[in-house]
Amino acid sequence: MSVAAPQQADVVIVGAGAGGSACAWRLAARGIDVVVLESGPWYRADADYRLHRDDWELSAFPAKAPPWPYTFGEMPELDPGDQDLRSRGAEGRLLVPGNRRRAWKYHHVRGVGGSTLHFTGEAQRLNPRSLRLASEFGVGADWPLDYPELAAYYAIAERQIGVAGPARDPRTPDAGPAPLPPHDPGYASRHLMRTTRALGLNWTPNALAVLSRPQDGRPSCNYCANCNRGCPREDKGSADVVFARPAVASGRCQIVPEATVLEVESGPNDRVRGVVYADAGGKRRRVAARVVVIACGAVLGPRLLLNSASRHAPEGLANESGLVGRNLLETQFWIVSGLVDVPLGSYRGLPRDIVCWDHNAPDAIPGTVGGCVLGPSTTEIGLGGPVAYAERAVPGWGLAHKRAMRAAFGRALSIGAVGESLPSPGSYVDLDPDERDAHGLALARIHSRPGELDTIRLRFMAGRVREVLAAAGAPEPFEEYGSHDTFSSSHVFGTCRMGTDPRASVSDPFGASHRWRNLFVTDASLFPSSGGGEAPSLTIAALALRAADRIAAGLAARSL
Amino acid sequence: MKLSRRGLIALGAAGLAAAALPLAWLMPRLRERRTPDARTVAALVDRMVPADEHPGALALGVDRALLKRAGWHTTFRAYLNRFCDLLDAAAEELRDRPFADLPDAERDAVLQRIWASREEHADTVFTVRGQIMRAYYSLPATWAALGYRGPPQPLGYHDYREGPGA
Repeated sequence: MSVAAPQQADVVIVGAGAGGSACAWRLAARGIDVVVLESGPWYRADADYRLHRDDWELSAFPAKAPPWPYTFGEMPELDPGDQDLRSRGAEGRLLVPGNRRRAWKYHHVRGVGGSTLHFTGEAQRLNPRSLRLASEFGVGADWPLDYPELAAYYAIAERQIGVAGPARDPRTPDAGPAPLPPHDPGYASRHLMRTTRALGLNWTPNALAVLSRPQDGRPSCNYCANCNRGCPREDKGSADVVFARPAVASGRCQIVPEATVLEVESGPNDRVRGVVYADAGGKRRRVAARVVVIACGAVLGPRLLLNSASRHAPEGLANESGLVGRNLLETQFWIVSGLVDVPLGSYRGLPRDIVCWDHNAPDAIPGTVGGCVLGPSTTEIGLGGPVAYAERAVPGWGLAHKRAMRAAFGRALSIGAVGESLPSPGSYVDLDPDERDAHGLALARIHSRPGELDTIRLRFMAGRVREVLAAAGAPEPFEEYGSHDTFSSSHVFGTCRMGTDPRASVSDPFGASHRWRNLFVTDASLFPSSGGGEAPSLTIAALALRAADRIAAGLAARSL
Repeated sequence: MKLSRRGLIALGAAGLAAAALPLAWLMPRLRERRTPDARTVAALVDRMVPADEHPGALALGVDRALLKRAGWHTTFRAYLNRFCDLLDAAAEELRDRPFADLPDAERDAVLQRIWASREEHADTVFTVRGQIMRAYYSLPATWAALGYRGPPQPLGYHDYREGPGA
């Protein structure tokens, strides 16, 4: 039987990922009635995740609902001069044949918790300097808020999530220690730290949404190394666990799963009235609300706004600037993997337990703007069991292959770099004129054409991680790949950019539409810049908490 | 209507082309609907991951797992059929016998020949090899040889700070 939402709420939120769940939790805690409409299901950690099964390696995250459909615009041709940035698998085979960039995947999870259900658990603050790309470096856009405003909400989110991290982050010296002590680096990461000392890299424990001590009835981590396949113990602070469930427990929040929002209804006087959605049985329903919050990500959020065009908003809702969907920022990354010459047992521990911030500042990489973050990626990219070794790390067949497997198992080491993504005129989300979903609504279409500064940065990242891996004892990688020849993004940003100028941004500094004063956005589409490779979920949550306080104040003052 | 000789020839050619079209369309589909030959699949699996002091893929039923997958996954079935065709063609050329009828050493020689030219049939070779490896190394019976304890949960790795086997 379909679960129906109440027909009326103070606030209706579209999407129950990091932004939607955090916003709901904060509003509910302030006594505000919230309805969250989520197109995917709830996940049950004890029943849905498969890490205890013998065949655990045969599937990645066990998605219960398929990703929301989308299409791609034509990808750019690849420059033959960039052979060093082509993705290669075992024995040097090109992973992307031909000379055109491959449109592979926007990695997202539909469900309560959203993409935090499969995230690695990194809970990093942005580098404060990366909030000023336009004014200090002449590219992109500035964030319309000061770092201390964000820091106050970072602290709230970190406490609620149970972030384990270092006593001091060199980039944010005023931040104070993380709420929980950091996790000890694993054996493989300590090998990495030791062997790369000559490169002068400064490794530090990563800030992770993974409990290092029990909290709120959740146990501490047991270091199974597979956060990305769904944490069955709930020591990982995915948004369903740390925000959505407590929000529901408050009695002020109802989360309706498998509820697909079709339209945000606009009305006169620059106010939105509520949303229309299809419930699990396909029946159309309506929720009227004093405030509508869009929190379904930087691809589906603009799609909903553009599909909500009406006589009051003929170019799409909140699109007075024409910037809804523009300025798409994606995941720029490079990952290289090899087999080192000593046993590491590298399938154990936390996937990204240490991090190097040395190149994170916007001016840290010569010849470009925007930094990057280095870290181990071995189990994050699936090299956590025998199947992955046999398929990817150890070529060949027969008795020689069996012997090589015995020698190789546990010795894989992957180093990843994730970097800034700058806005480009060719990178945006629009509505596909030809493809529609089951409800007759146009699908989102992703266009991606990273610019020259991104290529320069990516070349630096590739060179640096190759250097690190070689120093760690694997000079000949068995696999390396990245974003030059493949669109493969889990972190996407920028498509409802916030700012102070209504002509140059979609949302104000609190995420409210410049025109539609009771319409808010609380996801990564707000980001004016991507940051220098930091994982975005903590920042999304912080922005959502801040927006929630703004909404609560507006409701109390009856200005919303 | 009177047709010229040139017109008749053109009409005849078009008719032949029209008749040939369904065959050209049909043949690859019929080939791909074949059930892969169980003996050839067993022989392939046996040489891809042979027995040594630890069990090989055939003893652990990997051939049956492949055939089961080919039963519902049409793309994989096509790849498996193509791999079997490659094996038989090479075996016929080398020894005038099907792959499954060769002794182990000659099967290995055939497989080595295909492996040496794997880039020519990359999708087929790597897809089938990958499925054999997936089926074999997801079986608990294969893990002791690697020193692998088993699934990550529920125990996790509390020894993650130590060297393996410490």
